[in-house]
Amino acid sequence: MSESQPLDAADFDLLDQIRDLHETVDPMPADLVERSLFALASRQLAAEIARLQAEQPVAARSTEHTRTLTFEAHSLTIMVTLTEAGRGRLRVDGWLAPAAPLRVELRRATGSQITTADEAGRFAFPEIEPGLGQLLVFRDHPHEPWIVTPAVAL
Amino acid sequence: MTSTGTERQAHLADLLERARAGEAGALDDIVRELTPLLWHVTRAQGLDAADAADAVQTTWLELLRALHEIRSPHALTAWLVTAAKRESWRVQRQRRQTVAADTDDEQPDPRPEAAEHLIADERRRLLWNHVQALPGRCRELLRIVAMVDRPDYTQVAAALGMPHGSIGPTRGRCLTKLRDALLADPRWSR
Repeated sequence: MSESQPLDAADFDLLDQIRDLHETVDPMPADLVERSLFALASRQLAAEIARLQAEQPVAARSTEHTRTLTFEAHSLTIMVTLTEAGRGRLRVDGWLAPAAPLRVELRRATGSQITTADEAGRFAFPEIEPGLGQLLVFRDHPHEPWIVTPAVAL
Repeated sequence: MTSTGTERQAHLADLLERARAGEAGALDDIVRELTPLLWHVTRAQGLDAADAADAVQTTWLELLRALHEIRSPHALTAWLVTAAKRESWRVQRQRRQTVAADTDDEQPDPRPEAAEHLIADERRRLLWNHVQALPGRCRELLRIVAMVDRPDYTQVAAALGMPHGSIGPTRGRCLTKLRDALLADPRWSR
């Protein structure tokens, strides 16, 4: 068997079988296409994409269920804490670092909520439904976001 | 598969042109077509499922910004594979800062023994075991190349640093190793 020969029918057949095996053994998550479509749905070209960092463990200091998500871009870090707000709803408390009073949009499948961070970079969405969400932060342009995050399950 | 691959290419070329012209539905169709490929690219880099899913999404967000530079469906696939690999490396670098992970290239895919149970057919299981016995770089390369449509091989192979001849990709070291191993296995040749 020579390495420099072009791929032949037997190679293609093997590759087809390997593809099939990987699709059996490690299928992509059922919601991956939906999440990707959601993240792109705003069609907003942001200057920067903030990446989700490894999720922090549940805070041990209280009995309430708390999740902290950290999104990091070159110019900005967005920290978000989710707490149960009763009746199946969530409260979102966020913090921008470095602190700046910027407009923050939380995009949901059902529409958007918009707020403005205070001088300390803090913002909140007091009551949201669980589900997919994406954060957009605006700075220079009212319509073009400065930072977008991927869509995450809230 | 060859003809369906070619048809899919024509379909993707059409979608790409419409997406570049700003048609939202066309970009969505590209996402539906190529998300499985990106999943396997990121998983082949060793990301866990949650990180892989995030890396796929980020790759799509990056594409949105690069769409105007990409002119052919082959270039689109190669661009996406390269971007998803780069994104996976970025995630891994970051994870290594928090967790001391070994960088051993020969580290097997997660839970290969669990994978084996999912494959009912004996011959398929045999092929799987031979693929798993290849060096890490070969496993990764074959996994990605296997997910790519044939008309895209040349550009994707080039993006992955695979040698290729004047007409198209050559068999290369990894497929040669695999075929030699299968030929030498009496259970495969029968």
